[in-house]
Amino acid sequence: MSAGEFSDDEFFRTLQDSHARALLIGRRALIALGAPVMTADYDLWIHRDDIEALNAAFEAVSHFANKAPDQARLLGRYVIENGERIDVMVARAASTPAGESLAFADAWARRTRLEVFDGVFADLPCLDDLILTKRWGSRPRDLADIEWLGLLKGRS
Amino acid sequence: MTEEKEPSDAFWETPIPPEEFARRERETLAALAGPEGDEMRATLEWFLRRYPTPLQRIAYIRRKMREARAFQESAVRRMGDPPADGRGGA
Repeated sequence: MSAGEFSDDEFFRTLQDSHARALLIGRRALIALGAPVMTADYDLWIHRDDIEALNAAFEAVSHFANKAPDQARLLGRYVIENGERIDVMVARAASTPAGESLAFADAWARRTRLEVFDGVFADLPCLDDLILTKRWGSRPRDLADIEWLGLLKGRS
Repeated sequence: MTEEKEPSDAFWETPIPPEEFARRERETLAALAGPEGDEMRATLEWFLRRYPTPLQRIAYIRRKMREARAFQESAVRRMGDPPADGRGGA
């Protein structure tokens, strides 16, 4: 592993130790659930009051925010990066192009907890909310992801 | 396996209008009842069985991405090589 990179177990341990209210979203969430799709990034949706806690935890593994917390709150998103790239969404809510809204508070209340490995857990939106997050972009690649999520939903 | 497309891949990255997206989402989910769904279901079950923890699944995908990148890089290098008979290409 090159300098400035971390392993996936280190990512999840750091995330858990940060105590930030953070939902794993995007394709990494799909993979964690069982869909064999490819991605290079981590995507998180966190509570806007927990930016500092998350940043402090990742600074300890040499990953740094590209925006100050107040600026990130204004923009609704930022990136934590070095050898790995973590897209962090901090918006209170987001809507699909069709106007369907999802508030972080509601997604957090309905979250699913996954054991990633021995005693280390990650929080994910429930399957219906994950499907809704895929409508935010409304791209063909999001349809492919919804297909996998539909399969996972049928299985649960 | 569904591959993440390069950002330059306009087809995969171009948003679809809401009504069209809703229609295609309904069609996509309905198709899961057919042979395509059966094939994906089998892949899903294999993936979950072979890699039982989320960490193992993420590690598998990372490995496959590294392999795909290495294959692409070697293909690009081969394209730049002179023909095997030593003659230069025009």
